[in-house]
Amino acid sequence: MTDDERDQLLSAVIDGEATADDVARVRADPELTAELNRITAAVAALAEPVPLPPADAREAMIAAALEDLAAAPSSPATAVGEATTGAPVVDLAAQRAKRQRRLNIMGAAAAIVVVIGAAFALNTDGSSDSDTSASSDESGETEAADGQTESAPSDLAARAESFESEGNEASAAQLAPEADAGADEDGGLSQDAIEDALSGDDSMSTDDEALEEAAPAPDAAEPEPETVEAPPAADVPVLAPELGACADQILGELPLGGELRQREITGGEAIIDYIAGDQITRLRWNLIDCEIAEELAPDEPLTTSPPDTSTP
Amino acid sequence: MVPPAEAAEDELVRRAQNGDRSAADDLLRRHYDRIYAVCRRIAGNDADALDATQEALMAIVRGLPRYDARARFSTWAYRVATNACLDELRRRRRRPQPTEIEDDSATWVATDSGFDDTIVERDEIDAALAEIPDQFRAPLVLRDLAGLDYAEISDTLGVPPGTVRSRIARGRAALAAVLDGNQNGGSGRPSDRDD
Repeated sequence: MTDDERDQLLSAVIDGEATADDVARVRADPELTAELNRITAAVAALAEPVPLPPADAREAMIAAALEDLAAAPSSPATAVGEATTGAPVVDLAAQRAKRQRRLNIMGAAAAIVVVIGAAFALNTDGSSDSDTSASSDESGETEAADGQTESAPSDLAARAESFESEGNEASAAQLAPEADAGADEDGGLSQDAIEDALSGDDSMSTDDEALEEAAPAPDAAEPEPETVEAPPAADVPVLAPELGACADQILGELPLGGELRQREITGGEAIIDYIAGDQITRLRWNLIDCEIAEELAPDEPLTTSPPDTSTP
Repeated sequence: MVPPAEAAEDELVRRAQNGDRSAADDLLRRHYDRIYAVCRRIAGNDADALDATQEALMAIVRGLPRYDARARFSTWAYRVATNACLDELRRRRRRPQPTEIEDDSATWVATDSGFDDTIVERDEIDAALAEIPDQFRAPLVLRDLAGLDYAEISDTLGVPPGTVRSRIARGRAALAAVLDGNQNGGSGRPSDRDD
């Protein structure tokens, strides 16, 4: 048994999540039992109540916090923007509704492509001894379906096409991480979580910790040139895991059509570039409040130097 | 069915979001103790814990309009508080370390246990926690002090549940080893086998 396996076993026993067999196994092993007792004592010590500050300190803190409420308007939608320091914050509810509409269209487009593809596949299977072109020669419907399938060479391209026709500003690659972030908020699951479930705790945690501590590697290998034709790897916003729950709001408050590059994270703030065409909008994000703190002037042109995605 | 306590809290949140000062006041008071406790354990000293708690309370009030009830209010509040605490830690590391801060905790009140015992235990726990990296300390505090479950901690810290589970297990073992080491002269930092 490795150290990690032992720690997880004992932790599960402490949480009451271990199986009866595991509990019996721990109880039968004097070494494990001693370690369990040691960890249980540490957990109990940590759970001891913390001495609180004097009441007047508490009152002062609560009063100071409520000052912000007094300054905030009653309308939640406008309060978000006005609670900041005058930064150009977009109404989140409207942004989310807008994104949801686009995601619905994306889903519909994807469904159409799948249905057409399935119909095409069925027709192909049905013609047992002839190829697709022969089959389409005999069937006008099949030919129509075939033509449509060919006009949508990939699901991703279909999405991009759909977005372009809908708003002339969105790309499939940009919406993908939004959907990912939404899933993370709703279900507490992210791509990492899915990988975690598939690969097991240890390997996952190792990967995740390495990811957290080693900065966003995916983009570091080769910064892709800007493109509109839905190359997914290049357009996926590069946001570090440290951004945590703020990532969704960061995506939500920026207009669609560009890509994001995280430049640095320091002291609860992140500097993020929003790149649309050859224009860079540099934003300083407050990661505590998940808000735009201010808009900064970009210090280098995109055309000569791709954004640095390394994390300090 | 939503438990009555949660329903009452939801109502408080709704009123606070509409600018009701007394409702916001009530919400902050309900969660103040645990928010402070989380900050205290993560920050490791009273001064930083007070700063972090103040930041957390202000961030909660400022963020109320954004709270959308997808998570429990307490989970959301702990997320804000934890971020404030971790941010305070980062700020502290950037500024020059002050000389010895006089501990005025003798004027503070222990909530449950005997005062003298609490001071002693707090010193030991503070010293042990200080030796554990942030990535282990925060989930450990949220689990064993604040009583959050793994899913809530995952949501709070923005890391996958499996990672939370792993870090808590390793953090617990490390805390036990450090506490044991402090008594026996050894050390059990989790970073020893983290890389």
